[in-house]
Parts: sequence; structure tokens; C-alpha cells
Amino acid sequence: MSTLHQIRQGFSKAWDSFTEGWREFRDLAGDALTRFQPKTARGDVETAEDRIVSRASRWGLLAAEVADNDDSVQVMLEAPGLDAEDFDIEVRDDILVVRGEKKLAREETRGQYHVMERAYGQFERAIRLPSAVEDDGAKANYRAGVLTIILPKSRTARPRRIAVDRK
Amino acid sequence: MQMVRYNPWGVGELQNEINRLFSNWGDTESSGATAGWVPSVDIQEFDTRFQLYVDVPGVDPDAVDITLDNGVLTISGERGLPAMPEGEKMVHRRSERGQGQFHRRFILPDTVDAEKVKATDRHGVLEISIPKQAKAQPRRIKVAA
Repeated sequence: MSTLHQIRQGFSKAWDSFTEGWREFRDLAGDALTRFQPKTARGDVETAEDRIVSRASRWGLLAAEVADNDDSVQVMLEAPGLDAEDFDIEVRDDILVVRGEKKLAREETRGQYHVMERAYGQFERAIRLPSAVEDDGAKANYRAGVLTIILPKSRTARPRRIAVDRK
Repeated sequence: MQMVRYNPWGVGELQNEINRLFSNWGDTESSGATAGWVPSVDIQEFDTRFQLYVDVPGVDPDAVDITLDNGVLTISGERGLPAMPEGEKMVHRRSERGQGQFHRRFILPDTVDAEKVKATDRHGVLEISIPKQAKAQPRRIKVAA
């Protein structure tokens, strides 16, 4: 086998593994890739915080897990480093919208950043649910950086059992 | 005023971010080749210490292993499927979360004090504080009047 042939084969292998990796990445995390916007209209004066946030990554992965049973839908969203009150959760039929803002803690603004991969600012993530839900009776909690939301399914979306009369 | 290049679609920016996401997999500093997912990290330097923030949502802090050996800081651990508090009857409809092992490696200057590394967990973010040795800290010199 010629060297050129080997190089070619190596390249096509690398390309295959790249495209495969890309497809896998897109399937798995395409929806999780969320844009983070630095908060604007804070005034004319640029604060140290604004400057750091503007340098940070604009995209973060907010990975969601969605599961359901007959009665309810459960969504778990990974959003580390926020506080429970930073979230704004809204539901419209079968779409769940989670908004939030990841703030830079004051102490963090003083030092010099060498690596900045985590995204800061405002974000919005919409998740399509497997069925329509009711916002009445919805529950949410935030633990270990994971937001868990449990939504009861709307009456029409629940499977109904019909008993057969025995005579 | 800061000049920003006109970029109507933001494509270049997205491209950069995607390249960054990919370059994390299998580069020398992290060797993510066998990793199931790669946590994002911020590293910040203060006068007296380095501070790392590592995003590890849903990971039990006790299951994270932090070692500092010859100036190489390694953070590793593993996570499985998230627990379903509502019982076993739940059926998964969508799963975006990376699973399995993770590890990241960083080379720190040899002025750090390996004995005094501290780590805490706050809302899924691991905060690791690595103090510098006293001799590496900046000193103020007073000018004699």
C-alpha cells in the first residue's frame, strides 16, 4: 500500500469519525445548546462584571431529561450555579419554557481569569413535552444544580381506563 | 468604544464555540478520549490563590476525585442516569445529558501549595481553592520617607 493511499485512508477515517461525532453530538445535545445573553440596559457605566461576562462563553449546554408516566411529566434541567429564585418557569400547552440568569458572584469579579468556559447571562430554553400539561399543581425544585419540574398531565392527555361491566 | 465586526448571522461565533466544544474532547490538557462528558471550567487567579469553578450538575460531591500531583491538577468522577423521584414507572422520552466518566487535567504553576487545596460544592458547581505558597504572593514594599 502506498503512503499516499494510507494517508488518504487515514483522512477518510478521521473524517468519518468526525462526522459521526458531529451527528451524535447534534442528536444528543443540539437542543441543549443554549445561547446566553449578557444583560443589557444596565446603564452607561460598564461594570467589572459586565466586562467579564462579555468575555465569557456565549453558549452553554443546558441538558434536559424528560420522562413521563400516566399522570405526570417530569423534566430535569441541568443548570449549575444559579439560585432557585433566578428561574422563571412557564408552561404553554405542551411547551415548557425555562428562563433564568446566571450571575457572576461579586467575589469572582476581582481576580484575573485564565480559562472561561462557563457561560453567564440570561438564557431561555424551550422544551417540548410528550403531552399537554396543566400548570395547576406543577412543582419545581432546584438541587445540586439540577432543576426538577413535575407537571400533571391535562385530563384529556391521560389514558382513561374503561371498566367492562360483568353480568 | 469597542469596535465589533459586523456579523449578521453570528455563524462565526457559533463555529468557534462548537470548535471549542470539540477541541475539549481529546486534547492534551484534558485527555477526554475516554470521557463520557466534559464539564466546563473557569479558572481565576487571585493574589493569594487560584480558584476553579467546575460545572458538575447532578454529581454527588463525594464521587468526585481531586488530586494535585507534581503540579498537575486532575478532577475526575462518574455519573449515571439521574434518579427519578417519582418512581420506576416513568418512561424516558428525551435524554440530552452526558453520562459516564469525566476527567479534566490542568497544569498549575509550581508555586501552589498542594497541602492546602480546598473544595466545596454549591448548586452543582465545584469550587476548588488552591492557595499559592507565601513566597509567590505579591508583596508591598513601603518606600521609606
